[in-house]
Amino acid sequence: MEKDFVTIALPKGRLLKESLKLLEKAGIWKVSFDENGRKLIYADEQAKLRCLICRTADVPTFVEHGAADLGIAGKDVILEQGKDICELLDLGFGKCRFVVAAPVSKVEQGDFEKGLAGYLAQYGQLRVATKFPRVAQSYLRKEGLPGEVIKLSGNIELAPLVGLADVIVDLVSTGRTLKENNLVPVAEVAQATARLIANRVSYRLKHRRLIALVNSIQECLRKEN
Amino acid sequence: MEDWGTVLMPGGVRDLLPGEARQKRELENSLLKLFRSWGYQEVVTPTFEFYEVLAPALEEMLHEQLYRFIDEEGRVIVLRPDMTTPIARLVSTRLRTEDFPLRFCYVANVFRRENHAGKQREFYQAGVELIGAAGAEADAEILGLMGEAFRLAGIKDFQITIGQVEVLKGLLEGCGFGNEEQEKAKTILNKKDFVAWEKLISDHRFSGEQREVLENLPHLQGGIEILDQVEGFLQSEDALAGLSRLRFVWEILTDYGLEDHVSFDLGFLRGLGYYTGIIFEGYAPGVGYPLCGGGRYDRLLEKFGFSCPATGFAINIERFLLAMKEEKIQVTPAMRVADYFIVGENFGEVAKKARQLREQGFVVEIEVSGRSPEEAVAYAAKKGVPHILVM
Repeated sequence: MEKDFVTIALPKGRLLKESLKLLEKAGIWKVSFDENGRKLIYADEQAKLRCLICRTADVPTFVEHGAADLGIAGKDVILEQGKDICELLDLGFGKCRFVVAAPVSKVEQGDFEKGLAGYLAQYGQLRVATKFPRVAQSYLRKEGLPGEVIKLSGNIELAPLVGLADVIVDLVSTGRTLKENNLVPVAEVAQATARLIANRVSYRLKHRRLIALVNSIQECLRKEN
Repeated sequence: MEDWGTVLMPGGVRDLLPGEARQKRELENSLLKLFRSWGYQEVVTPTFEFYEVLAPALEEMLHEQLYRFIDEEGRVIVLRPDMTTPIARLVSTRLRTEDFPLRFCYVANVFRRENHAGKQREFYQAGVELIGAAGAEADAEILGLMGEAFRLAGIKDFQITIGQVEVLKGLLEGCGFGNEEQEKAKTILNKKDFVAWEKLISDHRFSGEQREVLENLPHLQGGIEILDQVEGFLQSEDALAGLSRLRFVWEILTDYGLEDHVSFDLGFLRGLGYYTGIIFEGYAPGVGYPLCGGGRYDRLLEKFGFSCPATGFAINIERFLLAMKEEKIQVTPAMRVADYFIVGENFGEVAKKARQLREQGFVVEIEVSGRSPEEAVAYAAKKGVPHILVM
């Protein structure tokens, strides 16, 4: 973290394009991005800006440690990681939802008519497969459901089909993957969009510069809506 | 066990090698010396204590981070997660008949179950507690001393941010927040989730003035002038008293020459229920975490049956050292090699000579591993010892 630079951590993957577009539209920086994705650090010496390209799930880590002053990360990632950061702005893009989904067959036979609590009353256990154990756990706790969370690394949809879990908690943007695997949402856990986050110390020590950047982004978002 | 590197230690603890250990010790010693010069006396408390004794008094965030185990009689023991609680216990149970205020300082390792990679689970703190003084003078002393600690370490661009929980409460009350809504608002501010904050504002009906105050609250950072901005809005006596305390503290910190290092943030919180007045944190460029922090905790000692106001701060030693490294401060002269190396046929003579030289203040190493004089001399020469004696 160089003292007079502001470093922004940008997420690789589905949020990157929108993030770069936003920075450009807000008049902050037009990053000439290398599509091959080899280059990981970009710097604008004049404007004293730098950006790091990192894995989406790593953005909060870079920001929490102060390796980046600002970052763009999905609320899903922020919720799951629970890092100590400031959440400055809702950027609006990258919209998706956390849902609880169950096999169509079970839903059709009425297992979820009285919600998850009804399912628990009937079957005595609720096993939840997910890539997001923290989100799933806090949802269960909030709803007062004594479920069991099973952490998987991917292809969560498989779990209820082969009897590893009763339901899944997963991110849904279009809902196609669920449909293809004969799953349907039975409850919504949370909504998620991309957020602008800041390191706690940078938010103090570089307050003026960060607020100026936040204001121009906010202005740009307002114009678009 | 082939791969010692990975099996040797649990995550979050570390070894300090000679250079690091020496830097840490020298910083600790100079901080203790500084604290003593302000009248603070060192105390030592046990590394572990009964859970049931400490738990009711702990800062809420620490509860989930405790290392607990069970002793041979089935009682739950905790490793201390901070030093403030043990010192509060010490004062409440053993020193309540003393003349107050009491000033205590400490250097100690503390233990917290941090889940995040890269954070230490055993770390070192140096701090002070000023117990039995309720006035703004005490707040100013604590903040002034913390500023001195930064100066002593040679950290130039440090910044101390100050908040006040009564003022924040007054601002929220002024916006019509009831107790429950205040808790909700504070939870959001404590998490610094300004997106949720915006939503909270848009979910309620407020007057124009109230809305403006709330919208500005997370961004109200700056010098003494931001206190003027909210003064007219505060109604409760506690909040106004809190505000005039902030003004007083600012005056004194100006006298200490700290005005360029201090800013106010009226939306600032450290936890939810523990602190009762002024709160603060210290930062330095290049370190992504607060280096130190503290505040007034007037309701802690009563948890041990002794109602008594108190305030204090703790410095995270490793983060302080990190900030010093960022400033390229040579914390100590490079590892001092010995001034003399002595090897000889008669070990008694060697030891005697070494003792004489050490009494004169030299660092002296002697040969103890049975090497021939030639081998020993080669070793000392390689190490760069300026004087080699062969007896």
